[in-house]
Amino acid sequence: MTESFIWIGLANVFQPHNLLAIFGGTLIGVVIGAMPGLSATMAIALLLPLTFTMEPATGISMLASLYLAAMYGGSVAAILLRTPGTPAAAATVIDGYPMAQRGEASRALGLSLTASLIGGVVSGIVLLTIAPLLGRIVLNFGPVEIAAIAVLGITIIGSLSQGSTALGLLAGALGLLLGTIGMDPTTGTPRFTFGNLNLFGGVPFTVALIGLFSVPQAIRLMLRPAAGGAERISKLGDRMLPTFRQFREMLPNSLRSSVIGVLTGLIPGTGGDTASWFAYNEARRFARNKAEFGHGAPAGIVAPEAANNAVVGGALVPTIALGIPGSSATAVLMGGLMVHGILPGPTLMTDYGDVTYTLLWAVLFANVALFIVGLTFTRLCVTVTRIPNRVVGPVIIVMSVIGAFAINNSMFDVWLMFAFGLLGYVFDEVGIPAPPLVIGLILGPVLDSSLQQSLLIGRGSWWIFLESPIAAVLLLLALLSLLQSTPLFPALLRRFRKARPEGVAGAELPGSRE
Amino acid sequence: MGRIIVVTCVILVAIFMWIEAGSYLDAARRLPQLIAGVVILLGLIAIAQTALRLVRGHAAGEGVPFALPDPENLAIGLGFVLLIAGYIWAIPHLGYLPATLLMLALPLAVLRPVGWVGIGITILAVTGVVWGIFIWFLGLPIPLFPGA
Repeated sequence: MTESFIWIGLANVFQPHNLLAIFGGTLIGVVIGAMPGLSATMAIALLLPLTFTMEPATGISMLASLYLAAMYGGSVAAILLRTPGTPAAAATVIDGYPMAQRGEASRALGLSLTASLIGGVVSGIVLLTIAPLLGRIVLNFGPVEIAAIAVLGITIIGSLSQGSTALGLLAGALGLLLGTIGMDPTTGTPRFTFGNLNLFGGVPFTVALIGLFSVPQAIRLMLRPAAGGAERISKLGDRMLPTFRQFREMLPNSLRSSVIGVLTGLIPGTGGDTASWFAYNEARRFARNKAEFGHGAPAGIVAPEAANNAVVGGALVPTIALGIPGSSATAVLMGGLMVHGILPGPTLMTDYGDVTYTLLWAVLFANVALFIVGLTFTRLCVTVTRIPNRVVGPVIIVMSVIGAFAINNSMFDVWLMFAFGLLGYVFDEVGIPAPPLVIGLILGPVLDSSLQQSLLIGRGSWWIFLESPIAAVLLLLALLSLLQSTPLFPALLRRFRKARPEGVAGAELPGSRE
Repeated sequence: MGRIIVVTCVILVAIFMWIEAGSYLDAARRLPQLIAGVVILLGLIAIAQTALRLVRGHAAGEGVPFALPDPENLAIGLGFVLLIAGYIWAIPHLGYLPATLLMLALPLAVLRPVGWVGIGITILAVTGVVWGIFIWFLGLPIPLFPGA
């Protein structure tokens, strides 16, 4: 039965109107993803009414393609303007922008596109083959395990800030603290809101993200005139795609990051934004030359981009297999299925097998569409590097302001974005890295709600985290990850490997000057 | 030196939040107070590290710990920050379109990174893209003109 649905789905995808929907969704997704403040979720929600009149398979394929393409689109602005188009592209900024500054914008965009393709294909294959099995594994993840994942995510900060661990951890902890602003998830107590209704929902991290990356960058561009700048300009005809040798080199990193993306996407509450940081951290951990990271390392672009596209397939697994959305975007997508009278859940793959398998094939084919659209779209985008800095600065501000407004249709958010922008600039100037602050803001609310739920389950006992084997293993990994970023770990390692030569000093994040 | 000042401000914010959280219910105060404590501790470590480095640098005869920025860059930077604040303020008062036109035209006209034709094309292109995507396609309820 399943096998026949697979072939029906494949045949459906090749229908001209479905192919057109996939290409249309991909094109819109790339453009929307490249706009700061516009997320994949928002784009799906806005396009949802357009799909009401379409056949279910066509409409859902279009939305899934859009979701996948928006993940890639976020990297375009991240690489060219140091302004992540989507939160999932925040980690791409760290190495993408320095690479563009070196005059290798085309190569950076090509790496991002290729990694996105690999991540998307891996997640598409996972979806087509082992989705129901993975769906059942997800059922083992409750608040205790999610809290442990959040803790593991936070420990990334330590290893990302090697060379300035205390400052990185300080910024991360500040992000976590700011993440507690808003209504307490269990008691409903308004925390640090000072009676301001705009803060009851917390600090929207997309708003903070736009401010932290865009405003400091715009100010810096105004200060440095293009003529006197040391930056090299990328050419429209520069080679975009990696050579076969480069592709072979990036493959292990891409595959590892894709697996990270799929696994992160599987877990409800975590998405591309978390996965990309996880993958970046692992790429750095596995890299021979860690000092290259933060200064335009190709692996630093490949890892987050493969991971955030792989999240799409991962997040669709619990949505399709269990009816539990793995991310906010898949929640909206699930709404799309329900509008067409299709109820996601364990029977989806049997009762509506034709639509489901069309969707799964569409995710796979959307990657091909993304590659084609991406090659043309991003090549045109490279022209941005030819525009004088002092023209780009005000444009970044205009885009950031409307992007921040678009999130909640609120001018308060725009002021908040500006405040975070000033904070980001000051942090940059004094050498405190801003990326850990973003990780803290992303994981703060996740940790907050899951921790409180876990303690309620454990009746106030912290031992609950060690009673769950999954949580215990994740916390052990978190401890090891934290130890690795301290001077203690290399000292211990040296003791065990007596003949080990002197290691390479850890890289610093942009903005962290020791 | 600037880092010590900034970290001190972060510590002060954390202390304020720790005290403020004290008035919340147990469950609501647990995490903020825990994190605020961590921020204070890490802040003190960061200050100690920076101070130690400054003392060592001073002893080794290294450069001044605090250098004044280039006056022209300072003026441009401050002016641009004020312009951004003015732009955000002007959106609900002047309307989004006039405010955006001014936000783009003012720095371009003053700093003249491109000629007048370039300025015109930039303003038209950016306003057109923003209007097309955010206003026409997404239908954002932002006041476009004064009194709208």
